[in-house]
Amino acid sequence: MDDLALSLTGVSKTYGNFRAVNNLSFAVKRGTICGFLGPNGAGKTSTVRMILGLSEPTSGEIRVLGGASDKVLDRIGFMPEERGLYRKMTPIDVIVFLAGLKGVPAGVARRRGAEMLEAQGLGPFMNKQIRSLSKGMSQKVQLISCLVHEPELVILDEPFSGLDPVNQQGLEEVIRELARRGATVLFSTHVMQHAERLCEKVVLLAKGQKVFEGTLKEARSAAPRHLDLEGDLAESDLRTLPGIVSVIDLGEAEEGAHLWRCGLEKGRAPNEALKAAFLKGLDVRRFEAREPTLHDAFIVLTGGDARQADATPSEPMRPEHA
Amino acid sequence: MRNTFLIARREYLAFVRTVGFWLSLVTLPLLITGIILVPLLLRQTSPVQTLSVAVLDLTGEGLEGDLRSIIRAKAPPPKAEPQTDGMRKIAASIARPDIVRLVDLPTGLTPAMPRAEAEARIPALLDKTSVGASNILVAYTEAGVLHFDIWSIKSQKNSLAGSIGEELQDLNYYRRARAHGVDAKLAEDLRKAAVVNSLTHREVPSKGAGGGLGNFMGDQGPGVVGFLIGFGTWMTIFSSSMILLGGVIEEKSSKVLEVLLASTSTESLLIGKVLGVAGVLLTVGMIWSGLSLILGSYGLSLAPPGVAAGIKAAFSGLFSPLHLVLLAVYFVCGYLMYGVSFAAIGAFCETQKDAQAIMGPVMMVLMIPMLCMQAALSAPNSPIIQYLSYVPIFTPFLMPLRLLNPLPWWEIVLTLGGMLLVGGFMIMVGRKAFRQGALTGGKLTWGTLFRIATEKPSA
Repeated sequence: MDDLALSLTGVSKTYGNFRAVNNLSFAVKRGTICGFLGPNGAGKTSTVRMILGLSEPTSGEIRVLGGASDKVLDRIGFMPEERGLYRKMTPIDVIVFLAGLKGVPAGVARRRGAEMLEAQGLGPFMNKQIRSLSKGMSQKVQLISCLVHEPELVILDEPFSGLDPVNQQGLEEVIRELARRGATVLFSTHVMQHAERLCEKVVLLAKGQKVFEGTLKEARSAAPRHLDLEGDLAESDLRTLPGIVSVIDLGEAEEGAHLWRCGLEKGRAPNEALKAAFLKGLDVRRFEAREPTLHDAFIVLTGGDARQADATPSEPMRPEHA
Repeated sequence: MRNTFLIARREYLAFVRTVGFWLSLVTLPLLITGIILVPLLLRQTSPVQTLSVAVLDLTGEGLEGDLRSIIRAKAPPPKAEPQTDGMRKIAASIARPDIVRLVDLPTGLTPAMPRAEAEARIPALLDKTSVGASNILVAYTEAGVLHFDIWSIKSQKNSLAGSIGEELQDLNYYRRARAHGVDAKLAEDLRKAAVVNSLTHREVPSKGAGGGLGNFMGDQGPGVVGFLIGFGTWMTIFSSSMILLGGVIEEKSSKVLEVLLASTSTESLLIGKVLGVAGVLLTVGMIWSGLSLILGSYGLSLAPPGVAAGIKAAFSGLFSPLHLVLLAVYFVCGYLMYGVSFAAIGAFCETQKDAQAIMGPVMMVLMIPMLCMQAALSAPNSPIIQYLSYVPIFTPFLMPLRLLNPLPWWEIVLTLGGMLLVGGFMIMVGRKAFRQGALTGGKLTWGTLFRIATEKPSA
């Protein structure tokens, strides 16, 4: 059996003169949680749609669960960025209907759906019309609809948008559980913390091109480490320390002290700068070597586009023909 | 196949489970029955108009006696013969003539008075209800020519003229004959000779049996039934296409379409939706046909045996199995052609308002066969109807009109071929447009349609 749940090779997508995705290649192993990250307009939704067979790539090849996506639709679970359910149907009927489209017999889907609704605290709302549910409840129903057929590959487009912190945490747990039972999860998000907590692998997209593919550790290593220094320190003194490339004023600290964040040159350890500071007799009262976060890596890797990250929750739909 | 069935079932149940569906199922036949029956009932229950007529003879020729005789002759017989024939009874109740009643000349009018004075007094007299006359027939001569003026209250305007017009012409004729010294007998013979037309209107034997209605069905039946089928086809295809359009708009606006397209093929989704609505139509059709059959059978059981037999014979002769097959083919092709197109339009619309903007021109085109159908009732094979029926988008509506009359086989082949060709193209473009519209927020333009139509098929 193919070890890869998903592979894209040289995939491009153009709409008229606009190139939404440019020569994109990446692969996701089975049983992996992979974050698909990128600022607005990076081409995430276009890529997801090509993976699902909703639109054809202009060039390149996509293999999903070892074949073409239209042949394995029953084994894929998909939750779109813009949630959609039949408002006049009940949650259980919607779940049974959508599971039916994935080949699950009605009885099995009804049993599984009821269990999942109960587990999500939606048991009492099982037979109420969806239009009477809150947005958060509807999103849970949507998620259950996407998972009830026990898919091997789950694609979640911005799954955390619109959820409160408690439900976000619940969704993270659901994603981990999916991975535990062997499913592959590909999810797009703007919120780096979710990706940081969940992903073993990330693919970073900017302006339709892949700018990074690898593990979280590898992603973080793309960003410089930081050294936070607290004390009665002057910016000019800090800039003379070895390996320091940037100094940011983080504001007043306790007892007249000041907090500074010093960016380290790539590959330089903080010890060197710290040692030099002590040797110079600088008033360092507290120090902390800070590992780069995925957010830092995201900003470095996406350059100017990264400013959009976290600022806007969703990627707009783009017409097929611009 | 499985997904097509599931989508069709969901679509079907989404309509059939609503209260509105059952309400419309019951109210529409009631409405149609009401539209037919209410005018009949109103006519039957409204009082018969009585025309009270006073005669003012200003000619000085002693015509009053003749005029009074003419009006008396229009008065109803003392006791009308009861109608035993059911159909005649209905016809008699629908066509009830006005009652003409002769009354005395109102006070203030005399045959000896000048016409100007009479004309000055009459309006005031007719305004008074106590006078008892709603019409005053004034006879006078001017330069030797006999004239009649009928003064009426507003509500009876033209009623009397329609009722005694011919008799007044007769009166004038005999008066002129007398004035020219023609013998009364000779004048009457000449009149009869002129009236009895030497042109004999010969008809081919009627196809129907069983008397008047049977003959009517035999002669006019193909036209009327063709019109009803054409009109029914138009209504059914249009209303079902609108159901599809509305359903797709709802799915598009609630963002379900993308989820569905990620779960099944465009073909399954589109065919499922079309079949689901077809199922709704079938349910409605079966229920209405069943009701029509029950009510029709009951109606026939009440009709006189000759009439019932005539109606049965006329209907049984109208449709051959080939007719039924062709009607079904035209209907199915039309339904698919328009259903898929409307669904595709719906996929580009987020709201009904968006749809209205696109549907405006479509509706204008769709009205063409509707307008033609009315004209086709009297001339189903007129050249305009004939040529328009060759236009594939009109074929499903206009061919049923023409089909019940003899047609050369090549016309049927031509229309079927054209419809299959253009219908197939519309379905192909509609399928692609549906998918395109479902996944984008773009508007449907001619440019978009052209790109969709000319785009290479995906691998």
